[in-house]
Amino acid sequence: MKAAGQRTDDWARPWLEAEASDAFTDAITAVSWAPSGDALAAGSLGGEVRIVAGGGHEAPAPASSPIALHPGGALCLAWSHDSAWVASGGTDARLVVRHRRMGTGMEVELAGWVRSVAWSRDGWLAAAAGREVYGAHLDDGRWHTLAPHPGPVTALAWSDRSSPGLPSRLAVAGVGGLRWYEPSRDGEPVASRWEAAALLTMVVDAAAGTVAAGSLRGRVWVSGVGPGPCARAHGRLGPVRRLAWSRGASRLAAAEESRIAVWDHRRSRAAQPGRLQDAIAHPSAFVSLPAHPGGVSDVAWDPGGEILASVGADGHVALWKPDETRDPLQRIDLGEPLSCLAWRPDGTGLAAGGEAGSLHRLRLRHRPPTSRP
Amino acid sequence: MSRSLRTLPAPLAPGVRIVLIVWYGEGMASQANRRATVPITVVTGACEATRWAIADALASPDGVVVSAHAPPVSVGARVVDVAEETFRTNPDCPCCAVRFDLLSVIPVLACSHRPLTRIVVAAGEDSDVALVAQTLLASSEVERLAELDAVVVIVDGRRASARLATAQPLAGSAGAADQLALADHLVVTGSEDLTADALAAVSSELRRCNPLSLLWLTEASELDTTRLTGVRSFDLATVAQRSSRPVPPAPPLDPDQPGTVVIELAGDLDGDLLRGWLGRLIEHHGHDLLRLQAVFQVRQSASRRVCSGVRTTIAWGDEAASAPGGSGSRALLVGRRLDADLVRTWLAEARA
Repeated sequence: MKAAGQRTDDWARPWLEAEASDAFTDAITAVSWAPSGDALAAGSLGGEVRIVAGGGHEAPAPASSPIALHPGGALCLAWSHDSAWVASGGTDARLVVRHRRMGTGMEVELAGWVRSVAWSRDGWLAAAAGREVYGAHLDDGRWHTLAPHPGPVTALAWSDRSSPGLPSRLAVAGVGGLRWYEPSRDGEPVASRWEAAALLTMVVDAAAGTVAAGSLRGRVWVSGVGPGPCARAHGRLGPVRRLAWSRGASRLAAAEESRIAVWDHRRSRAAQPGRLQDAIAHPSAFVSLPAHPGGVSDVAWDPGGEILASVGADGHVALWKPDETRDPLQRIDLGEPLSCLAWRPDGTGLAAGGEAGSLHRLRLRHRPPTSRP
Repeated sequence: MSRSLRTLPAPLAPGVRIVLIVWYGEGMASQANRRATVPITVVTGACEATRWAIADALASPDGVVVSAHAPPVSVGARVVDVAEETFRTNPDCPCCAVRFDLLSVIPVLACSHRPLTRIVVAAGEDSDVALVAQTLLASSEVERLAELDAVVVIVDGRRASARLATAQPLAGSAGAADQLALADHLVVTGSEDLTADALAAVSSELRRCNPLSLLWLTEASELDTTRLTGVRSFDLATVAQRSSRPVPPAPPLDPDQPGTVVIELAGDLDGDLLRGWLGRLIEHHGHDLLRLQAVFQVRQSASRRVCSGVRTTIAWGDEAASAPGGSGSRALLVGRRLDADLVRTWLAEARA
């Protein structure tokens, strides 16, 4: 932890140390910290979804039985905002919702592989299978079907506000672009964008009300929630697998092939102070980082919004400060291709899932540069 | 030959429409964390029951069949249903497309630790098999976990014979003709019902349609399906090894049917001009190019360049030191409306 009154980059470098590892039966596909930070859930292609860590870093991981099972493989999971519920989906075409302590919940059979699941802050749950998107509120448990997407859905995300006082909006991305829905409406989209694109990934900064989407053709777009101006990010990229906003949507990172693309509105000579989407099209906002030979699997900004972490098929976790250097601050070889990562909500560590079935937990420390190995 | 991958640093020529050209260089990636790739066999063609019987045999006991159609009979292999989702990556280009369903399903299957000996993609009678191959070859995520092994096409011998008897082309549709031209294995069913002359006529026509493939004149039930495996027909090392095999050029009887063009050239080629040739070829014939297999002797290069691909998705790299070697350049192109003289002239212009 940094000392009070001192900026981290004045005296120390962030540094990851391997802390613990938990074995799953197959490749890890999804990993997510509870918003409260006291629990970590992961799912694997072996089918199990388990909560593997509770309490602080020092607490040993309790041996736990799966909270959910998806024969054939778990593909996605998400925590409710009160950290009480875990929803997961898999190749068994089922959505399973479980209370983390009581084990109660529900199971719903959907139309195909459940690829994406997302909770809103006000208790709505959405899940996608094929072109179909389903939604339910935790309080009544009745499932609503939205209008089928033009093509397979790849990502779901909720926005906290479309404008002050209005309910959350659901963003649905996939082949055929991005659509916005309001759960209280009749299941028809309230807005759509980028209809000609095959979107592989999408992220919403719920607080800032900003969405970014990446496509198979290597395009990245940014816009606000609903209709309004949008911007296409500068850069020639390969297929964009993952995107990550930094806090406040001031920076955006994309995993594409073996590189990470970063757009930072503070770097843009065209930018006025304000939103990244005003500057993202300008070349000066763009940085490309050669990251992981064999492919970048996932990227995520730390909750403070300064440190970028990435994992890749080369088995490395890497830390970056793209506004300081194009070289990684650190690389750690975890010995297996890595598929996903998630920061602890307090920023003191992260978890990375591997294709060999290990869930790695790493702790973030700060060291003076002179003591750096 | 190393299978690490990077995209070529510069476009081949102004205005060239290329989905992907990949270079299999040497020593680009860490080999320590690399895992064995899962072979993929594409099974397509006539006779749904035979198609499924072969798919089932190839996928049993520890494989999986990926199909958009339910099997008509019960099969022992694990079957994953997909909905065919074709996405055009370039709306202005008919050949720039991928099967999105395969891109999303195959990495999940191949990444799992469950015993998985093979993924079989069972495609329909008129399926665009070049699109399937293009999808599997273009994705770096699929490439890391799986490898296209071979394309197996079932031919209904009785129907083929009847079509020949009435002077019709062997294939009844453009999709079926492409399947015949792209196949690594052609399995002719019902051959025991044909006279020797009829069988010879069908065989001869199949050989003319596809001089590269292996021909199996047997019932599916008697076919040893292990002989359909281990082909690695799109692998650059395989292409290099086969480069010295004699293949007669086979111009199509009908210009709209696929044909085979063979180009042989002595002497060195200039590396940059060769890239220009490839760009020109893709620009003019990308949509019609069902297969390209080639080795090129390049000036100031210790080893020959090897090239393999479908439509606009072309991989190339250096010939391995253990390859049989040889001198000169040899390109084999399978496709429709290929202007053999023009393509040959373009390549001759790439001489150093």
